[in-house]
Amino acid sequence: MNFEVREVGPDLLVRVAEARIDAAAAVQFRDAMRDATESGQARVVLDLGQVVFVDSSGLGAIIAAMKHIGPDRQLELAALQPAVARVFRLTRLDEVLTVHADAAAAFDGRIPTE
Amino acid sequence: MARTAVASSGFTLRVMARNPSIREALSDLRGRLERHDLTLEELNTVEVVLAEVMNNVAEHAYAWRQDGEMLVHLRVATDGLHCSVTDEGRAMPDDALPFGGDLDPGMPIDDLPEGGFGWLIIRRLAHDVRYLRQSGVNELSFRLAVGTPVGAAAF
Repeated sequence: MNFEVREVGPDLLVRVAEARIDAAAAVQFRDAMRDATESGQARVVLDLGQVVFVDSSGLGAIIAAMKHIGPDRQLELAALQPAVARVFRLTRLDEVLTVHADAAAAFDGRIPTE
Repeated sequence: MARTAVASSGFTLRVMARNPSIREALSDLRGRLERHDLTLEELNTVEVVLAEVMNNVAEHAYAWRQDGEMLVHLRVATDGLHCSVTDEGRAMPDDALPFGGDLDPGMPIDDLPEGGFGWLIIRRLAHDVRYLRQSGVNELSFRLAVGTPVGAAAF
């Protein structure tokens, strides 16, 4: 599972450089998230702009990541592709997590858009 | 590895109940359905519902074995895409479909489930979902209202 991780001020931006978070990738995603968020930033933005497919195993892995970072820290999502936005909507997980239009919006334009 | 038998009104894929084979089958199915004038959203519907159904077979029906197989049969009709998935694995608990209940978004994060979203997605997107257990075979059949004028209204 390829991630691009960068610090943005006091926060962390994790960009998933994969097309799918599905049953075949859920375990690797969970492990990679655990490593990426070890540095302890209070706010982690998960940029899913390159992800075109998330299934229920992927949703479960994102929930697991949210639990793992703990109640005092925040996991937020950015750049959901249409098929991904729909599974979040269907399961109402879009009401549980904060969703930003893209990474720049999540950081009030503090990162350059690519 | 997915092999194919071509029938006049549809086709059947034989899929190993393992994650890489399921991924491969989904990509194969998407390629075939792209010839049927489905919108991008409809293709996404087919992909995610079939992914959930096949993952369930791999994770539950064949939980104890690695060499399980399933047959995925698709037929294009005027009211949508008729799908059936059969396997020879374990029956569903109580021989019935899991409920796939709604999530309460207000619950504490630590209480959120990490599974069970699959049935929720299937029930939201598929019509006429039926489960049959007969002679050691599970058959889940359903209809996806895609590729039809009425399909647009169903989403």
